[in-house]
Amino acid sequence: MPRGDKKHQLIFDELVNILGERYVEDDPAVIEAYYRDAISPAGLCEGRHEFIVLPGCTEDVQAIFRLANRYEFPVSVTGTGLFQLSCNAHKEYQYWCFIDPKRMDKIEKLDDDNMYAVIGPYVTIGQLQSVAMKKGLFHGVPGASCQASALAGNVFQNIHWTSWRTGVGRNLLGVEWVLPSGEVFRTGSLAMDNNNWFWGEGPGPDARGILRGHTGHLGSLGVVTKIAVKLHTWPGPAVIPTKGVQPEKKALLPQETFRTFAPTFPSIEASVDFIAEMGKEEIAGYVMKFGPWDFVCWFTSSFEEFWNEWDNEYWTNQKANGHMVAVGLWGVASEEQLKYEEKVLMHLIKKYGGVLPPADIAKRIEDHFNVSTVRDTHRHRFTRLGKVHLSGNNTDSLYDVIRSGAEDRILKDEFTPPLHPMGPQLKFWSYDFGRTTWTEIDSIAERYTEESDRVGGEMMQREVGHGIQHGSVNSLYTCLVTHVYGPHFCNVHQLFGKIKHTLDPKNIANPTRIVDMRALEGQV
Amino acid sequence: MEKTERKYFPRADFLHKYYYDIESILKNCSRCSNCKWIDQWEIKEPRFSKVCPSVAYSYFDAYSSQGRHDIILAWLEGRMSPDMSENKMLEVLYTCDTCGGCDASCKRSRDTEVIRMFLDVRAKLVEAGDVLPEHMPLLESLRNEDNTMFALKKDRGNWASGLKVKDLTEEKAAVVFHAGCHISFNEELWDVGQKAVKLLQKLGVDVGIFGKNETCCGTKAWDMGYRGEYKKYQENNADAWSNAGVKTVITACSDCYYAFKRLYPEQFEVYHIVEYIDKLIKEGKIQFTKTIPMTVTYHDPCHLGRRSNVYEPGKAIMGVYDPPRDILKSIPGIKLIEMYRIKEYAWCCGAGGGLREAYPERSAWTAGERITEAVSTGAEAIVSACPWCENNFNEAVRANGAPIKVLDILQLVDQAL
Amino acid sequence: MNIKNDVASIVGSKYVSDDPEVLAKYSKDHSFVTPRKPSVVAYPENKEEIQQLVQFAYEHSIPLTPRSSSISFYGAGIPSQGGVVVDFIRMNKILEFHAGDRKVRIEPGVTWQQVETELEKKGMMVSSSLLPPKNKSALTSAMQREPILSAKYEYSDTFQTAEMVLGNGQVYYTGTAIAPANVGRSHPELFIPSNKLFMGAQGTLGFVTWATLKAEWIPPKDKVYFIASDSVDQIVDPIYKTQRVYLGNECFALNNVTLASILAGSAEEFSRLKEVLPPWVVILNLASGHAFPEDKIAYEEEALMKIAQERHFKVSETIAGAPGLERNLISLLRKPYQGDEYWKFQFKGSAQQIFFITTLDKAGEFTKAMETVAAKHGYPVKDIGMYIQPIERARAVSCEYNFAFNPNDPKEVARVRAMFLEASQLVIAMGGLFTNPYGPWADLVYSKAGHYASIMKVVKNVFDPKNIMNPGKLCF
Repeated sequence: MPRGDKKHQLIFDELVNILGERYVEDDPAVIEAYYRDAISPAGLCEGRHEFIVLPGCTEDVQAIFRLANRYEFPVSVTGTGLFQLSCNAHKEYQYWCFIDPKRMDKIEKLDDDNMYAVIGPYVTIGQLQSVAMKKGLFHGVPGASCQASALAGNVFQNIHWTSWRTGVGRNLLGVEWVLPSGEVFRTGSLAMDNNNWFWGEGPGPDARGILRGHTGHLGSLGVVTKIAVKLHTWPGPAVIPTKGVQPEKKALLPQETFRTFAPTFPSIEASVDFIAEMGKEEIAGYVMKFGPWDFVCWFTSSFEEFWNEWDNEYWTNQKANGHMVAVGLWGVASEEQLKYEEKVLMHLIKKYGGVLPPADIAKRIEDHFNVSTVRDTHRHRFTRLGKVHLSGNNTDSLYDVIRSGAEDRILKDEFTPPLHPMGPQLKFWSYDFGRTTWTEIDSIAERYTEESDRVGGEMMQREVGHGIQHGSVNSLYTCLVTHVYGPHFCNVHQLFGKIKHTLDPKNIANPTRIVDMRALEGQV
Repeated sequence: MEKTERKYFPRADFLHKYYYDIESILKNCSRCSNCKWIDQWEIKEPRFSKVCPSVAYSYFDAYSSQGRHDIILAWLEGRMSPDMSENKMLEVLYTCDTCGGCDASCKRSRDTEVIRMFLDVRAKLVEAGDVLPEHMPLLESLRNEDNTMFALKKDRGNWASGLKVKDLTEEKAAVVFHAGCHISFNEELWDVGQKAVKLLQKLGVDVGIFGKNETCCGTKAWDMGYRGEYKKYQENNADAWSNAGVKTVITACSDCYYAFKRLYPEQFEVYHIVEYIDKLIKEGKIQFTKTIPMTVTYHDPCHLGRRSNVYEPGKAIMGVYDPPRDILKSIPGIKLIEMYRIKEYAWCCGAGGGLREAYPERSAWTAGERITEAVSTGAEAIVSACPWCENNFNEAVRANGAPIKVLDILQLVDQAL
Repeated sequence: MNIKNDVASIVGSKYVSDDPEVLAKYSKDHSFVTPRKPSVVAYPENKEEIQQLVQFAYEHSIPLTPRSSSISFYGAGIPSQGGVVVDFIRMNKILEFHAGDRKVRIEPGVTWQQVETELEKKGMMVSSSLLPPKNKSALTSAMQREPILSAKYEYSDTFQTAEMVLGNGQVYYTGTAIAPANVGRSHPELFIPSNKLFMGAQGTLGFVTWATLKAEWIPPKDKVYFIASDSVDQIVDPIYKTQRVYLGNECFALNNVTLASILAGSAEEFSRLKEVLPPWVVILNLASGHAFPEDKIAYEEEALMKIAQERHFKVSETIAGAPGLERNLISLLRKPYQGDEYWKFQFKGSAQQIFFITTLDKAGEFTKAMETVAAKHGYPVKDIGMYIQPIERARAVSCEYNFAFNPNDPKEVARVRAMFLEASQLVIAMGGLFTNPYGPWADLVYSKAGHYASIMKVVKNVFDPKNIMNPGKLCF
C-alpha cells in the first residue's frame, strides 16, 4: 500500500471533507480489524484496505462513489462483516476504501398492517425483531444469526431457518441503491415515488434480477443503502421470555403455540419423501434436515459438552444410521392448529418409518430449537469446534438433493481425514413447503494446521471443476467465481460483465467480486 | 459406526491450546459480531441493544473485541508494533474499559475468556514497556500515594472522621470494612462508607477499618496491565488483614470486591456489602421499618457482576445480580423497574480499566448512555453498588441535566431501616 | 433479403404467413394500443428455430414480437415497429412434471386449459388469477406476474426458471435451469442476472422457450365462506385479520358486477344478478389438508368464527342472490374460464381493465377515485367490475377495475379511452403501482420512473444490443 503518498493523502483529505474527521480512518491498526473471517482461507485474506469510512446517509455514500470515480479507487462495503471475504481488499489493488455502515442504523418505518419495515444497512435482525415482535411480526434469521445486518442478509443468500414458509431470496420490497456512478437507483414502487416502499416488482422488468442471484452482487454494482423488507406473522410473545443467565439461559416459547419434533428416518430418501409430504400438507413453521452435529453443536453449551455428547451411543448411532429432521410447528391461527399439525406430523412420521428421539434428547432439541430458529444468536458454535469446511452448497429442488447430496458425500469422504468423520450425513432445508432446498455439508478439521488449511482450497477447486465438467453448480461458488463458471454456463460472466462495465466503467465497485473484470478484458 | 476415532483431533493438548493459548484464542474469533451486542434474546429496544461501549462510541470494528483480536494477532505475528507514532494499536487496546460485555456475549458461542486474554495482553505490553502515557498520572498516584484518586495518602481516612470504629492498625477485628480509594476520597460518597460501617456495627459485627493506612485494592492496576503494582497491593492488604486477625473482608466497592474475591488468594471470606445485607435480610436479622415510595432502576457494576464470575465453559456467567435486587424489592415502597441491559448483559458505566483516566470523554459518554437508558424506564433514581459507577453517573447527570437521581443501595437501606 | 422467404427457410413455408387477414389479426388486440401490422407471422416449433429467427433478425435489425396466446388484452403482442410476429402456438408441449418437486415445465404455447386438464389428472394444479381465458398461455400469465387467487403463500408468482433465447441468438437459463446435470433445475436464483429480471419484461429481453412453474396439490375438500358487505371499506378488516393468521386458501373480494359477470350465462341473468348480489363479497375458501381433511377445515372454521365475532363481521356459508354457489364456486375457479366469450367482455363486446398494486388499506380510496373518474366521463359507476386480490397474506393487493363497453360504438370507445387515461394518471398520482406498464401506461410510468428506465435500458442493451426484441414496449 502506498500509504502516505500524495494520492493517498488527497483521497484521505477529500473523504474527511465529505464525512468529517471522526468518520475516516487510515490507521493500520484500525484497518487491521477488517481483513479476515472464520471461514475463508488465509490465502484469500492477504489484502488490506487503505481507508475505512463511516457514511451516515445515502448522500454520503453517493459522494464517496463520486470521489472514487474521479480518482479511480476501489470501494467495497460490508454488512456486519461476517463474510469479510466478499469485501476485503484485493492485494493487487491500491487505495481501497471500505464502507462500514454502522452509522446507517435506523429503522425508518414499520408498517404493521402491510407487514414491512424500512431499514438501513446496519440494522441487525435482532434489533428489527425487537420492534417487529411487538406488532406480532418477525423477520427470519439466517445462519449468520441475529447480530447480522438484516439488509445485508436480504441482499445476500437470504436463507432463514423459517424459510420453509417464507421462502428464499424474495424478501425485498422497495430498494434504494447507490450505483457506482454515485446515482441513486430506486426500484419497485420506490421508483415511482421516493416515499413509497411497499412493493418490489418492476415497474416492468424487475431490477432485483440484477441485484441478486443466489447471493447479491456483493457490492460490485454499488451499495444498497436502504430497503423495505417483508415481515411475517409472529404468533409468539412480544418479547422473548427468558430465565436464568447465559449460557445457561432458557427461553421457552409457549408450547400451546410452538413445538419442535425431531424424527429420525432410516434413509435420506425417506427423509426427502417425508419432507415432500410435509409440503403437500402445508404444515409447520420450519422443516430442516440437519446432520447430527448440527443438533449437537447447537444445543451443547461448551466444547467439552459437545465432544462428550458427540461420542455417546445415541449420536454415534445417528451418525451412521439416522437421518434426523427438525420440524417446528407453529399454531399461528390457534392452539387447535397446533394440535392438527401435530396429528398430521405423527401420521407422516409413521408413514415414512420415522422414530422420535428419547424424551431427554427430544426436550433438549425442542427447548433449543423453538427459540433459536427465530432468535438465533450462536450458530457460530459450529466454528468453535475446528476449521469448518462447507461443501455442497447447492440450492435446487427437493428431489435434486438426492443427486447433489450423493456427489457431495463422495467429495467430503475423499478428504476424510483430515476432515473429521461426520457419517453419511447431509444437511438440507427446504423452502416454499418443500419446493426448493438448500443443501450443504459441514465438516470440521483441526485448526491451525497446514493440512486443514489446504483442504478448503482443494475441495473448492474440486467442486468447481466437477461442476464445470458435469454441468452442475455449487450455488455459493457461482457467485464468488462467476468468471470461472461463466464460459461453461451460457457465458453468464459476459452478461454480468457487460452490465457491470456499463454501470461501473472504471471498475471501482468491489473489483474482482462476482466477475473479475480483468478476465473479461476485451470481451465487454 | 464405531465411536469417533480421534486420530486427528481434538488432541489431548487441544483443550489447553484452545483455552489458554492466546494465539489459538485469537484465531478462534469467527467475526460473528456477538461481542458488539447484548444477548440477542434480551434485545427489547434497538436503541439499547449494544453491549460494547468502545465500538458503540468509535464505530470502527477495531474498537470491538473482534477488532482487538485481529490487532493483537498482528502484534503477536510481528506484523504490527505498539508504536504510537506508527499506529493506534495502544489507543485501541486501552479504549476498552474492561467491562467484560464482549466476554459474556462471546461465551454464547465460544469457550473462551476474551477479557482474560485482553488483560494478559495488557500485562505483556506493560512488561515490554509499551505503556499509554495517559496512564502515567494514575500510576504516579498509586506509587506515591497508594490510591487511584490523585489524592494524598494522608487524607485517606478523612471519610471516617467522627466514626467510632476500630482502627485495625492498632486493634484486631474479625471483619474489615475496606472503603476503597473512591469512597475514601470522594466526599460526595463518604456517606456510603459511613452508612456501611454504622450498619455493620448496628448488626453487631466486629468490624474495623484501616483509615488512612488503607491502600488500593489493586484492581485498576490489574486491569491496566500493571501486575507488579497489583501484586504489591495484594500482598500488602493480605498481610495487613492477617496481622489484624481479620477473617472476613467486606467492601461497598465493586472493583475492590473483584480483586478480593477473584484475584487475591482464597485466604479470607469476601463479601460485597449487598451480599451481606441480603443474607441478613433473608435470615430475618434486618427488617425495614420505613417506606420509601420511589421507582428505581438498578445498575449492575461490571466487577460485581459478570467480571466476578469464575469461568466454567457452558456454565452461567454468575455475578452478584440478585442480592441487590432482592434488597430493593424488600424495601417497602420501592418499585424496581429494570433497564433493557442488565445482569450479565449490562451496559457499563465507563469508569473501569483505566478508561476514565486516559479517555475521559469516552468514559463520560458511556455513563451518559446508561443514564439515558435509566431515564427511559421512567425511574426516579438509578441505584448501584459501586462508587465508581455512581460517580460517573453523577457527573453524567450533571453534564446532561438528566431528570434522575443517582443513589447507592446503602443509602436506601439506611433510609428504610 | 425477403423476410417471408428467409423466415420460411427457418420454420418451413407452411409456418409462415403474410396473408393480409392474418396480418390484420395480429396487428391489434383488445387494448387501445395503436394497431400496426407485422411483415410476416412465423410459427416456430422449437428453440433452435427461434434461435435462428433471432439470429436472422439480429443480422438485419428486424423487430420480433412474441405472441403466445390467441387472445391478447394489453398490447404487449402488437408489433409496434413492424417486423415479424413470432407466435409460439406450436410450442405447446408439457415437457416435464414432477409431483414430488411440485413443478411443471411447459412451453410458451401451452394454454391454461391444457395445464388444468393434464394436472388435474394427477391431483394437481397451477395457481392462476381469476378465471383466465382457457386459451391463454399459462407461461405468459406467470411471467407477467398475474396475481394468484391463493393469498396464503408467501410468494405471489408461480414462475421458477426458464430457458430463453436472447436478442443476439444466445441461449440463457435463469436460476438452476442453467445446470443441466441438476435434476431439479427449478430454483429461481443462481447467477446474476436472475429470474426476476425477465418477469414483466414482455419479451423485450428474451423469448422464453420453456419455463418451470410451481404446481400445487388440489385440496381434497373445500369449504367456502362469504363475507358480504355494502362497501369496499368493509372488506379491509376481515381480509387483514384472516390473512394475518394464514386462514384459507383462495381469498379475494369481488363486487357484484364482477361476480355477476363470472356467474351469468346471459345478459338477462347478468342484469338480474347485479341487482341481487351484495355490493361486495369476500370469498374465503378453507381448503383441507390431505391426511385429515376435516380437521384442518374444522380448526380454520373455528378461528374464522372467532375473528368474525371479535371484529364484528358476518361470515356466511351462502350468498344471497346465488344459492348453491358455495358448492361449485371453487371448482369453477380452479379451471380457466370455460365460456366461449371471455367473461370480462361477454355482455358488451369488449372491456378495458385498470389493474395495479397497492396496499389493502388504500383499496377504498382507489375505488372511490375510479368511481369519480368514471362518473366524470359519464360511465355508469354501477357497471364497473371490481376485483381486489390480496397478495401474500394481504401485505399488498392487486386492484382491478373492469370497464366493459361496446367496441362498435365510437362514442363509447372514445369515452372509455379518455376515462382510462385519466384514471391511470390518477392511480399513479395516488401511489398505485403498474408493475406491468402495458401500452399507454409505459409513458405514464417511465416519465415518472425515468432513472429506472435509464438503468433498464443499460440492461436491455446487454441482452438485445440491436433492440429487436419487442421494441417499443415498456421503456425500450
